[in-house]
This record gives sequence, structure tokens and C-alpha cells, in this order.
Amino acid sequence: MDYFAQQLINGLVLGSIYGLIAIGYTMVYGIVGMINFAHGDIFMIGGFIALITFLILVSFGLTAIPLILLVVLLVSMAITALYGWTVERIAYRPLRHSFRLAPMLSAIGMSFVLTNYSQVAQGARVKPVPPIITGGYTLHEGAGGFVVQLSNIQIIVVITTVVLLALFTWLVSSTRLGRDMRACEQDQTMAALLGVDVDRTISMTFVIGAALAAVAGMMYLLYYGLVDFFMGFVAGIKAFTAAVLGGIGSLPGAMLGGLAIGLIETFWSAYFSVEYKDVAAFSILIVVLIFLPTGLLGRPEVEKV
Amino acid sequence: MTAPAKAPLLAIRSLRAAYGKIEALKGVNLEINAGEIVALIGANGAGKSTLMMTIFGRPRARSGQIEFDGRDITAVPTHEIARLRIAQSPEGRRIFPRMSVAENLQMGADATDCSEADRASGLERIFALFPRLKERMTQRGGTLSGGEQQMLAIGRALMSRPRLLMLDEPSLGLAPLIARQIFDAIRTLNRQDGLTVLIVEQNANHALKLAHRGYVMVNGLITLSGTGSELLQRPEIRAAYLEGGRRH
Repeated sequence: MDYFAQQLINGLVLGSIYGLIAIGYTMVYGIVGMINFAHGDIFMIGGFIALITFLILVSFGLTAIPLILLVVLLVSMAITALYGWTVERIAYRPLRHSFRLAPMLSAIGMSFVLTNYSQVAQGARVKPVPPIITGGYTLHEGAGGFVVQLSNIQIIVVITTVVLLALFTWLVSSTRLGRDMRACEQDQTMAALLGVDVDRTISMTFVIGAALAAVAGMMYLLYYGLVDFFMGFVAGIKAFTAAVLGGIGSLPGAMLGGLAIGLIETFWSAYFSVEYKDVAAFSILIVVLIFLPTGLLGRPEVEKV
Repeated sequence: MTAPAKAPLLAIRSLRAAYGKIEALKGVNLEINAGEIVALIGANGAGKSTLMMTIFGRPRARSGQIEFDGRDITAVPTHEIARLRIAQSPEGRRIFPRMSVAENLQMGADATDCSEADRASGLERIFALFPRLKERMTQRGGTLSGGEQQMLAIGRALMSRPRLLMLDEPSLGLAPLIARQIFDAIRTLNRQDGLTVLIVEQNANHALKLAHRGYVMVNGLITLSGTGSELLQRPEIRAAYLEGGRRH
């Protein structure tokens, strides 16, 4: 039981990170109908920028950890958002009226570009950081000596995710930008007839998705204590799987799918084998898609007209 | 006919537009004066809806000129046309299906950045015309009946306080009673608020009775124009559009 509780905590933390990345996939799919394969690499870029910002701040002699974290969070969100915006501007927008596959191919190319750019600019070696946030709480000490722990970093990851999700949900449901985004998702021509600048709205979607991925990148850095140029690939595939599992196009679905993948992976590693954790995650995706082709929270394509 | 004392609100001159290689508008001339209801009638595929969409730059005009209130708007981006307070209830209504009725109306209000007071009075006006919408405010657009969607599409266009309202087939697919309700609403808006309306219709009889003037479009060209009652008298109109296309 204690072991189970510990894995549940670990799974939820990992799931939060996947969920934050998955939102970027699902948002972009909803609004422009393409899979942004470069999104995983945007997450990786976010991790690197967080690391670089952290090192710069420390080299300036800053020691107040909360202040450092806040600055790192804001800087990495801002710069990664700029990457997201640029990728859309140079690689997707020129192809928007081309055939359907074109932006998707361009996205795969963009993914290679970002991966290799990071490798060249930052080196191929894994970049470790010393633990920045330490300590935690012991929740329960079992009879067999097994201890259920909740570390501070885990608390920070979950709280940050919940706060960001609340903000993001509010943005989409209650602000004009959110309304414009949903309008573009449902009918771009009509949105334009009603004065919505569709290009700008799509750009904003990429900016927001990239900012959330940057947060995920920073959380990954803090949680695992390392970044490398290739981490966007696997994390990206996992988060994409999460988005599809939850129902691509659905925002709560992305978060739910993220948590589901995080939990499946963690439990499989804990009870069966670490080597096959990805197989487990993808197998469950396949099973779900057989019985629920639109994912857990996806909507059926039929709309009354 | 006497020449209008003022410049028309909307003037379209030798307008050409195409989808790829298919030319849909082949040099259209049309004028709408402020305060008028103008009907545009014609068969399916004549280019009526294309004309409305070309005013919004989708597709862009190949040549010719669109002038609104003395300003050349031929090359203005689509999303800026709405800010000039030209509103459209387009073909197929295009309600946002997964937004509530309230949000659909808000999209119309956003189009011209209208103030809170304008928004409130706009809503009141729309509820007076279409009381049904008030009961449906929290419902999703996609769940409305066809007639309600049409009311919502017109309501959404009205929320931007348009100077020119363009309606594409507002009676299409509606029960006669609902269609009459919608035509009555258009008449009320024109008489009480002085709203200028361009209405595209296949239902020529209704449209020409409602309109001050009408244009007939055939294969991308205007072939006839005149006052509504003049056009209703024309034997070729009666044969082509009013009596099911039968000749006698």
C-alpha cells in the first residue's frame, strides 16, 4: 500500500509535466489541424533556457532561491514563446494554404533543426544541475521500513501545473483572446468576417503552447536535474500520445491524458519492468483508440448544422 | 429613375472575382444607398454569395472596385472589413457550434469593439426582435434549430451595430412562419433604425416585396435592376423565379 501511494505521487508529478506539453499539441491541432512535431523540441529548448538563465543568475551572485526560480520561470516562458512564435512564422504560416501534409512535414523538419541546433550550440553531453530544491515531507512510515515521501520539488511541480491550468482555462473560456481562439478553431472564415485577425490568433496559440512547454521544461530540469538536446523527442512523443489518448483538440483531455500516461508509465515500471514502460503506455493508447476512437474526452465529429 | 442626391453607401464597379480558374463574378455593378433594402436574386450558382464574400475579400477581387462610404475597400484585409461596420449573416449561417448563444452574440459585439452600454442595448434590441434567443442564451449554438440559428446569425451580425447588413438566404430551409418572422424583423430594422440591408434570396417573391430595389444576377453578371415592384411585374422574372421556372 505504501509502495502504491509513493508510485501514485511519482506518477502524478510525471503526468503533470506530460500534460503541460500535451496542451500545446492539442491547442495547435484544434486551431490549425496539424500535429506540431517540433513541440517536443520546444519543450527541450525551454529546459535549456531555464538552465542557462539559472546559471547566469547564480553567476551574478543571487542566492534567494524563490526569486531565482521566479525569474527563471518568466524568462524561459518568454524566450521559449518567442521560439514558438518564430517556428510558426517561418515554417508553418507560409504553408497554411498548401496541401494538408505540407506543414506536418515542415514540422518534422523543424524538429530536426531545433534538435541539431541545440546539439551544436550546447554540446551533446547531458547537462546536470545540482539539486536546487531539496527537502520534503515524510507522509507515512510503513512497518517494513518503506517510507512514503513527498518532496518539495514534487509539490512545486504539481502546484505550478494546477495554477497554470487554472489561468489557462480562464484565458480560453473567459477572455476575448480565448473566444477568438475558439472561434478560429470552429470556423476560421466566419471568425475573419467577425473581425478576428486569424493570423495573429494562430500566432498567439503557438506562443501560449510554447510558454506552457517552457514551464514543463523547467519542471523537468528541476525534477530530474538534467537536460540534454535529445530529451524533446521522447517527451514529445509521450505528450503527443497523451493528447491523442485524452482526445486531440480537447484541453481537459490533454491534461487527463498526460496524467494517465504518467501514471501508467510509473506503475508499470514499479510493478513490472522499467524496460517495457513505453510499450505499456503505447499499448494502452492503442486499446483506448480501438474502443474510443476520439479519445477519452474527444468529441465525435458529428455536429448539427 | 432619378439620380440619388447623395453618393451611395456601397458602390461596386466592374467587379470580377474567381475561384481558381472558374470566374464567378464577371464585371458586376451594384449600388446600395443608405437606408435602402436591396434584394439580389438569381438562380443557384449565379454568384450571389460570391459577391457578398468578395466584399469581405474572400475571394479577393481580380479587378474592379468596391467602395464603402466613399472609401475604396477593395484591398482591405477581411478582418478589418467588420470594423467598418459591414456585417454579414453568411450562407449556411455559420454559427459557432460549440459556443453558447451568448458567446456567439459576443463575437458580433467584439467585431467593432463596442462599449458595454452598446452591447446591452444591442442585446435588448435583438431579444425584442427574436425573443426565442433570450431563452437560449446558455445553450450551445450547434444545438439550435435551423430557424433559431438563422435568428442567431442575424443577431450576431446586428451586435456589431452595422451600417450595412448583408443577409445570405435568410429564409433557406425554414418553415414559412419562421421565414415570415425573419422578413418582418428585417423590415422593422429598416423602418425603425434606418438600417441599410442587402439581401440575397432565391425566394424572389418575398425578397422583392420586402426590398426597395432589386438586382437580378445570371452567371456572374447583373442582367436586370429596378424597384422591387417593377421587377415583380417583369414577365421574365415571373417565369424564371416566381413560377417554378415554368414558361407559359
